[in-house]
Formats: sequence, structure tokens, C-alpha cells
Amino acid sequence: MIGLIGKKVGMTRIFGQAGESIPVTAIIAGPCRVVQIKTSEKEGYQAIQLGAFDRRKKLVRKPQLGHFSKAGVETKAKLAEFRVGNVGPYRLGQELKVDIFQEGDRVKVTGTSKGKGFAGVVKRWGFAGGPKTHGQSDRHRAPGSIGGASWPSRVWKGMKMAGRMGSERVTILNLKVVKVDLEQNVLLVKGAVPGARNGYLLIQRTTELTSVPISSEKEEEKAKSEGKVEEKLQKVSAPEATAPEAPSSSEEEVPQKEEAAQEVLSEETTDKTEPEKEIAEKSQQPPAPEQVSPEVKSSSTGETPAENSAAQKEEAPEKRAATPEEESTGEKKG
Amino acid sequence: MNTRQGLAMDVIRHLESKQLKDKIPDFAPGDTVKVHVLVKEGEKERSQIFQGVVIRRKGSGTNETFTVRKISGGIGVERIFPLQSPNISDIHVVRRGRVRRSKLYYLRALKGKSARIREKK
Repeated sequence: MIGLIGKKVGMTRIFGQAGESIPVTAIIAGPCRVVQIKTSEKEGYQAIQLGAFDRRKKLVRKPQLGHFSKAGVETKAKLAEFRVGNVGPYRLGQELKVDIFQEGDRVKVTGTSKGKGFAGVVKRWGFAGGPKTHGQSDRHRAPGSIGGASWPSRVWKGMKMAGRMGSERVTILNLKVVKVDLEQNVLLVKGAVPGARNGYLLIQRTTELTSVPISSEKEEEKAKSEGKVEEKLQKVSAPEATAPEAPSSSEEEVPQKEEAAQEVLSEETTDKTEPEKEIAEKSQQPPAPEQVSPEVKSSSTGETPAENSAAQKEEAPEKRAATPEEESTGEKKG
Repeated sequence: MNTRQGLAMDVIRHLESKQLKDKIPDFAPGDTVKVHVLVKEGEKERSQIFQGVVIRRKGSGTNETFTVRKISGGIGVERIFPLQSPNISDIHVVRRGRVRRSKLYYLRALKGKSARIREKK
């Protein structure tokens, strides 16, 4: 499921509504950008590759530079892939921020646990060790017998013994999101997460994201104006068509071409009054997370609450359904 | 955002700073205090007073706690309060004591006359 790349900051406590103390881990999560979209046609499965935390160009290997420039994303320190059920809502270069999570959500956090070095069986497997008294010597933390002498007269495979412990990938399920700070890109989850401070983490949603929150898109909308939004609406409306077409078309879009395509699109939109209205309405929507939440929920459950924004979303598919061919041809012209 | 260790800790400090109370009376181990604790009984909320000697203060930021010890019915009772908890409505210093260490664990072994603390002048 889609998520974010984060870094563990550390733990603290905050007080809940009833004055109870909640132990929380602070995570700097994202902002992440979509670096690659993997589709079942090309790669055989659907996934979104995200990049997070800027790294100086000089420190990035050349093949990696090409990978980033292909997506039009600045060089990143960490890349990670998230399997998704539908690549529809995502575009190359798109920014994902902590507002893909909401307070109260349950998340899955993956990290690399702290290395414990060569650990004995008491620490590594929870063995009880030997008796402390009654004349015991050197037996306090010993593992005991590891097999019979006459049968099986060997040690079973997988016998729990001393060895390297920690430094492995650990996933903690069902952690509750206590707070989302969009300004600071900070996520507070209840309880502990694997790894040391400053360790990379993957924070995953438990449900599919049907549309990317508007607040994340705000900057992009400013930069890329209506043309892009048009394309996005189109994607949402026709999910079958998007999987093969959309990623390839956006890959082709080198910045200059994009501008040209935009012009064509904006010209087209002037003819069609319907879509333009919708875009105007969409851009007017305030980017507050509270507004976003009902929209996301409604589209996942298929219900239509009295929320205006949700109603617009629902209407969109029928109106859009007629247009995709026209617009895709328009793009190719550009 | 730069996430080097020092700056990462600032994130936590920043988070905590929003929760800190503005008014906390100045008190130290050895002082006798009255702690007003909000207690929820069903729907109603009332304030309960716990009076005793502060024997310890530890931690910082939202994690700061203090321990108050009193003798109740001949039995020593200690309670640990999170200093920043919203359930602590008030802390009132009754008497300032003169002590020579920051953790007064030695009081646990004493009772009666020997458990007294000299008042600060």
C-alpha cells in the first residue's frame, strides 16, 4: 500500500484529551516525490517508486542521475517502492506529503532494527538459562542440550542458538497515528518503531489511496497550471485506460513538450465550458486537510455524502468519459 | 528539511514546547506541596489534593515528573506526577525545605522526628 519514506526522530510523550499520557515516536516523513511508476504491462506489477530527502547532485551516481532526471525530480537520498492496486491517482514527479495520513489512522511502519551483535540464547531467543544457585558454575546463561546423543545424533536444522541479532528488517503493524503536522512534515505514531534515530522508515497506509490530497498538489498546480489538472481528472475517470497510457505519456513529457501540450489543452478547454467550470471549482477548494478527508473516504466506500466536493468527484466520470480520445490526440499533437 | 541529529531533536523540542504549561511554580525536592489533581468520577470532574514532601524531580520537557511522599495512616505513600499533565491543575508550595541532595530517598527509611526537614530561611 502507498506510504511515505521517513526518518525516525525519537520518542516523547504527549497528553491526550482526557489528560492521559501517550508515548509517541516522531517521524519526519517526506515530502516524497514519485520517481517511477511501475505498471503490470511493463514491469509485471503495479508499484510507485518514491524518493525522499534531497541529496546533492555531486553525491549521486550517474545512472541514478538519469533515473531522477527522467522523472523530473531533484536528486534524492532514499528510494523506496510501494505496491499499489491502482496507479491511476499518481503521476511522475508528484509530491506526497504527510497528509496522506490522518489522525486516528492505523499504519504499518517498517525499519531496520538496531544491531545487537553476537547475542546469546537468553537475549536472542528468550531462553531461561540455567539455575543461579545449587552449585552451578558457568551454566547461568547456557542453552542446555541441543540434541540427543543416540538419536538423532546430530543437531536439527534451525536449532535456536547464539548468533548475530538485530540489523534486520522489522515491520510493526497497526500503529495509531496520533498527530499529523503538515508544516513540519512530522508524523507522530503511538508506540515504538524499529531502528535507531535517523534511521530510514517506511510508513504505509492500510488502505488504497484513491486520490492524492489537494494540499500536496497545491504547489504543482501553481507551477503546472490547468493542463496537468485536466490530465489528472482524465486519469481518475478512466482507470482502465490510464494504466497503460498515462505513465508512458507522462514519461515522454519533457518540460518543453509539456508547455506545448498545455497550450493545446488550454485552447481546447475554452471550447468546452463544462470541464473548465469543474477545474475552476476544483482549484477553488481550500487545501485544508479536513476538507480532504471526507472526499477520500467517500470515494473509497462509494457513498455520496452531502459534501459538495465529493459530489463533484462522483459526477466527473460520466462527463469525462466522452473526452479522453479528444484530449489524448491533443496531447500527441503538442 | 535537514535531519541531522541536533536538528532532529529540535523537532521534538518544538513539538513539546507547544504542550508545556506556562505557569509552573518554582519548587524543589524538600518542599512540602499541595498537588491538585483532577479526578473523573463518571461525568463529574473534581479536584483532589495530595499533600506531601517532594522527594524527586526528574526528566525534562513533557517528560518531567516529580514524586511526592506523605505518611497516610502510618503508611508511607508516594505518588509520581507528570509535571506537564493537564490533570495537574495546581501545585501549591506550603513550605520550603532545606536539603542537601536532589533525591531524598533516605526519607523512606526514616519516620517520625528523624524524617523532619529543616525549613529554608
